[in-house]
Order: sequence, then structure tokens, then C-alpha cells
Amino acid sequence: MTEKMNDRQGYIGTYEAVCLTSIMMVTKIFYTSIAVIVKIEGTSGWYGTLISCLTSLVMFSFIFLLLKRFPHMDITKIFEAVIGRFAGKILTLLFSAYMIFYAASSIREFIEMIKAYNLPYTPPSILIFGFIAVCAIVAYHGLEGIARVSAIFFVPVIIGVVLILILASPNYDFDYIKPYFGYGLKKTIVTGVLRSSAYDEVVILAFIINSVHGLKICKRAGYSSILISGLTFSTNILCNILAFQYTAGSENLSSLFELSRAIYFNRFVQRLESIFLFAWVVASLVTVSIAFYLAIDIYTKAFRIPGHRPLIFPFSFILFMVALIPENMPEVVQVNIQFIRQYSGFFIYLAPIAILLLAVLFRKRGELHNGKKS
Amino acid sequence: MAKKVSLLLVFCLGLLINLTGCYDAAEVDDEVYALVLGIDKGINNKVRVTIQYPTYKSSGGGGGESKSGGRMEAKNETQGSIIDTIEAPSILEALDMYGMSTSRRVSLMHMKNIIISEELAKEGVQAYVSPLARYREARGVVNISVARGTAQKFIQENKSNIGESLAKDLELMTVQSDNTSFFPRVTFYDFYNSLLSTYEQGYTAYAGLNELGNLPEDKYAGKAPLMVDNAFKPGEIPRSGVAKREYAGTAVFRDGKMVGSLNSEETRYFMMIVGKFTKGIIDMEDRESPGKVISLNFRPSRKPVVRAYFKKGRPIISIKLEMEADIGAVQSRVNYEDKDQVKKLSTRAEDYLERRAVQVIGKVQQQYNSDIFGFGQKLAGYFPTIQEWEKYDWLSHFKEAGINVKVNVSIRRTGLMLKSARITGYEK
Repeated sequence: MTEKMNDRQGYIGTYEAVCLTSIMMVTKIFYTSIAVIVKIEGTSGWYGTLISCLTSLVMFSFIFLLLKRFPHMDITKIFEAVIGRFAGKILTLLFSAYMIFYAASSIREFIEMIKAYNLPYTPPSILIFGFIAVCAIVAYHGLEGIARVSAIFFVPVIIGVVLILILASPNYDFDYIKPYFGYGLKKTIVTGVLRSSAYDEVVILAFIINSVHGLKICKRAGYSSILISGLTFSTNILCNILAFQYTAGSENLSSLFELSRAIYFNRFVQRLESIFLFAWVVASLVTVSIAFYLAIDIYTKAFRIPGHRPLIFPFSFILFMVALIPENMPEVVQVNIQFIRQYSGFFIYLAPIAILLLAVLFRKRGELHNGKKS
Repeated sequence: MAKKVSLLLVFCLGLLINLTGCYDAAEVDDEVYALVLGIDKGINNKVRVTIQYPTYKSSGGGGGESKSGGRMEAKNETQGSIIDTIEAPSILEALDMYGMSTSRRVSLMHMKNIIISEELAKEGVQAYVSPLARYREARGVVNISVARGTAQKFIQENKSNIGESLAKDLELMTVQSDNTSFFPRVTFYDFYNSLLSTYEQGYTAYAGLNELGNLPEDKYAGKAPLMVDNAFKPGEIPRSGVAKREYAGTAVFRDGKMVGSLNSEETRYFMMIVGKFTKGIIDMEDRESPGKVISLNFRPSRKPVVRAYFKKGRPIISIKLEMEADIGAVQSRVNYEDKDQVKKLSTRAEDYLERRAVQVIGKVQQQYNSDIFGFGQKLAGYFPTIQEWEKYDWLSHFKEAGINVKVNVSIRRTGLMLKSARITGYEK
């Protein structure tokens, strides 16, 4: 039993925890996020996302306070401890459902993009099947395996992105960030706060807290990954505005892909989007694997099921079905992705914060190291 | 154990089928790769689309063989490539319609050039350019030009006259822009961005066919006057040769429509102002020996500094060009290598470039009212928000702008000579 439990959770270090959460957040730059931000905020998008980053730091601080109040407990147990077993279970299952929705929407966004750019005639179901099969194999190896994969691929992914941004630099014109306040400071701040949802993947640390060697590492990993992601988002949005202006910059399906296609030095140094493809596919696979694994893991925690492996197949099936729900690309972008990146924070951040408030209100606390209740 | 291994193998084999991308697989030989896409106004339908693609024959395309080599060339076959034209409601459908006569699917994945006819460009290009921006096979780094006359005729004369590879020839032709600056290298990506831009207007290279009749060879004209101005439009360059197609000058756009052009000489000063001039030899008349030429090889020593501000509500643009030059030739053999003479020559070069740059800006501002220089980028900073900037509508205010140009020229080197010695008896 213990072996099985270890098998599914395992332990991960600070670096792996940072990579795990960062890669999940950073993957958005490969998709429609950049164009959507430029469309809403215009030329101020590059610092608008820093407002999202700051908001996320504040939100994560609240989540951290909750975790600190209940040491040695992951957030699913905290829910049950504060609002009771039934309501806690419901809330936990909502998170599991959200993770499935997140994974399915991410797969679908990936599939729609790969169909638009690379494989236009391949049926989406074939692509989704292949994608989920890989995620299922990764999830089979549990959190430790996923964390190792994230740690291995995070640096190459970031190097790939940086390489694209540097190689595309001849296309940049710094005057394109004018007017400096974009579509207005108010709009930038409001959107910035709302788009903090784009960083809410940091909440996964609250579910795997028992695997990250305690609160200190959780705190360090949370803050670091938010800052790394904020810097990555900001740089990418800035580079895209500098290259495409705020007008064409809001049109691109994948701004980063377009940037990689714009690289041209001479007859021999061009067509470098393969760098993008590598980074894009790896980052997407890891992201969906994490979300998929967490969906199963949260579910098993809700029902106290030992081991996650028997659930991989049924959850793969559910994932496949949910990924096929959106009828078309606009639906994926305007419904699923917009919810995840703009409004999911209301649930992901506010649910734990509400639990924290309730815990404070009803003076509920977890056990201390010596086993005494405070 | 054996069962597990077998299951894993079956699973992996299943994945092999799914993950090889076989649905979208295409053999290289299954497609024809259009290298040039020409767009003309249609007669029976909206648009006339011309493509030029390699023939896949021996010797890098087969067309490398001359007619005298005994092989017949079809009417629409030019060296190493075939040219097909079709009329269709849209460019993308035209590509499909080629499938009714061409045995392979037409792909734009390796397209190098887009040629738009002048007539179409003057009517507006948005309807034809936008679909290409959406189409995955059309790459943003493709070069775009406007052709005098029809794109179809231009492409029919688009021959690789050096080497066998048309693709290489097309790419190197546009690189000539960096060597001479007589025409700009504009990518589809640049042009499309400028169509949507609120900071600037678009421009493309200007191309055309030269019937090779501008070079009088049958009579001796006596002492020819000195004309240092290489102000040519495509089709007008006095030359003979093999290739009829030529690039000379810039097609100027306003609101997506071509409104005029700059000739090859004006294009050089335009390129200096926008910071795209890389190098070029410019001849000036020698004041100390009228009728003779001093050739200076110019290059920018730093990027142009453009400052913009409002003075009593009027936009003022101030441009500073920093250029370096080497003396390429002194016909008069006046000792311009002397440091005082170098200084004088620098001052004259500054005046010359300044005057020309002002003329070009004046022409674009007054005749075309199109900010192809991108001065708007500098003024946008005076507006806090995009709404205010768009409300101001810089592109409609461009004409009112006061523009000052200052040029600094530093002559650095004098070629391989330290001093021009007098040639004995030359003055006689």
C-alpha cells in the first residue's frame, strides 16, 4: 500500500517544482494568449501581464497562508477540514473537473493550431488520440515522473523560445510600443487583474504540497514560477508588439509561431520554425500531462482511492470526449480558453481564499509538528 | 512479462500509425512548388493568377538547356520553369483550379516572390493580400513587388540567366537591393503590417520589363552630357542584355492603393531615411572639373536619428543621417586625397545628399501624401492611448508636417591611392 502511494506521488525538489509549475504557465505563449492580450490591451500588453503577475503573487500568498495554517495537509484535506467532508469533496471534485477541462481545452487548442499550421488534413480525433496516449504514459509514471520530464525539458523549451526571440530581433522596432498606455491605463489594469487567471496553474502546488518537501519549498517554487512566467510572458508580448505592431499583432493565431516564421537572415538561415515546433510540442505535452495527472490524483484523493493507475484509462476516455466538445476553433478560443485564462481565477484563487476566510472565521487550524492542535 | 511486452509492442505499433502524420504526408515529387505568384486584374473573373514553377527536369530543371540544344520549349515554358495563368474568383481557388490541368498539387511553401500588377495595385490590394496572410503555405518572408504592365508578362520574362536554379536567382535578385539600394527589399510580412498600420503606409519594390530598346547603338552622339542622376523607372534603364525583367524604384501606397512611385535614384535617398540603405556608389559632378565625375561609395555609419515633436500643433520631423564614404573614382585626378580636399568633398557630399533627401521627402509628402518613412512611430509617443492616437489620424496629417534633414558625411578612405598623380599629357 505504502509502496503504491509512493509510486503515485513521490518526492520532488525545488527545481523540479519550479519547472513543473512554470512549464504549465509558460506554455500559453505558444498559443493565442499573446494575440488576445494585444487585442485587449494594445501596446500596453507587455506590462499589463506584469500586473497579472503581481496579482497572482498576492493570490498565491493567500493560498500559501492557507497551506501554512494547515501544515502537512494538501488542499483537498484542508477543504474537508474546514467545510466538512461532503462539501470539501464536492469542492475537490470541482477542481478535478476543472483540470480535465483545462487539459482537454489545452489539447484542443494544440490540435487546432497544429491543424492550422502543420497537419491540415489529419482528423483531429487521430491527433487527440496520439496526444492523450503520450499523456497517459507520462501520467502512469506519476508525479515524480512528470516532474523529472518537466525538469529535463523546461530549460530546452526556454532556450528555444529565447532563440526565436533573439533571431527575430531584426524585425523589432521599439517605436511600436507607442502609445505607451495602450487602450487606456484603466483597461490595462482591469485586464491585468483579470488575466491573473493565466497564472493560476500555480495552485497545483497546493495539491502536491506533500511531495514538495514542505511549505518552504512550496513558497519558493510558487513565487519563482510566477515570476519566471511573468517575465516570459512580458518579453514575448513585447517582442510581438515590436515585430507586428498592435494592429497585426492582435491577428495572429500563434504570435510566437509567426515570429519564428519571420526569421530570415539569408538563403541559408531561414525557416527556423522547427525550433518553435520542438518547444511547442514538448511544452504542450508536459502541460497536458500535468493537468491530466492532477485531475486523476485529485479525484483519488477525494474518494481516498489508493493509486491512480487504474483510473488512467477511464480518465483518458473522458479527456478525449471533453476535447471533442468544442465545435470549432473560435469556440475553443472564445469559450474554453477565455474562461481558463481570464475567468478561472475566480474559482481557482477565490475558492482557497474563501476557505482561508472560513478557517480564520471559525478558528480552524491544522496540526503542528508535535501533533498538538493550536 | 511476455504479455506486458506484447501489449506494449502492439501499443507502440498503433502509435506509429497515428503519429507519422500520414494524412498530411506529401512526397516532394507529388507537388509543384510555385516560386513566383503573379496577381493581375481578371477579364472574365475577378483575378488572374500566374504561377511560375520548376519543371523537375534534368539539369536542375531542364530548362537550362537552350532551344539550340534541340529541345523544344512550350510557349509557356521559360528556362527551367513553367508559367501557368488562370482566372478565378480568388487566389486560393485559382491554386485549386490549376489542379484541373496540372498533374500535381500547387504549393506555395517555397514561394519567393509575389508580383502584383500596377493596375491592380492602383485599385487596392487588400482583397488580394489578406487571404495570403491567412494561408498557411504563404510565408511572410516572401518578397513582394509591383510590376509595371501585367504580372503575367513580367513572369513570362522572369528567367534565370545565371546558373540553373530559378529559386536561387530569385532570391539573389532581391539581395541586390542590399548591394545597390536602387529598389527596396520588401517582404510580404512588412507590407501586410504596413497595410494595417496606423504609424506608416506601405511600399514595395517596383519592377518592370525592359524591351532593351533604350540604348541607342546605331549612331554616335558626339560628346555626351554628364547625367549623374540614375533616375530610372523599371523598363527605362538604358541597357542591353539577356534578362528583360528589372527592378528599379519603389511603388508607393496609401490606404492600400498604389499612388505613385519613386525612381531608382530617389529610392536610394528614401532607403537612407528609413535606415535600409546598406551601401551604394553615388556619382557627383566634380566642381573643380565640370563634366567629370567623383564616385563615392556610401554606407551609413549609424542608423538614422529621427526626432519628432509638435510645434504649435504642427508636427515637426527632424532627421539626421550619418554617412561614411570611400572615394571610388576621381576622373579629374584632382588630388582629393589631401585632407583639406577630403573635408571640402565631405561638405559637398553632405549638401548633395541633403538636397536629394529633401526632394524625395517633398515628393512623397506633397504628391503622394503617404508616410512610407514611418515618421508616425516617432509621434505616437505624444499620445497616451491608442484611441487618442487613432483619433488624431497621423496619416491624414502627414502632409502638414515640417521636415528637416541634416546629413553628415565622413569620407574615410581613398581607395588604393594616396594621391592622384597627373597623367602626362592628359589635359591636352
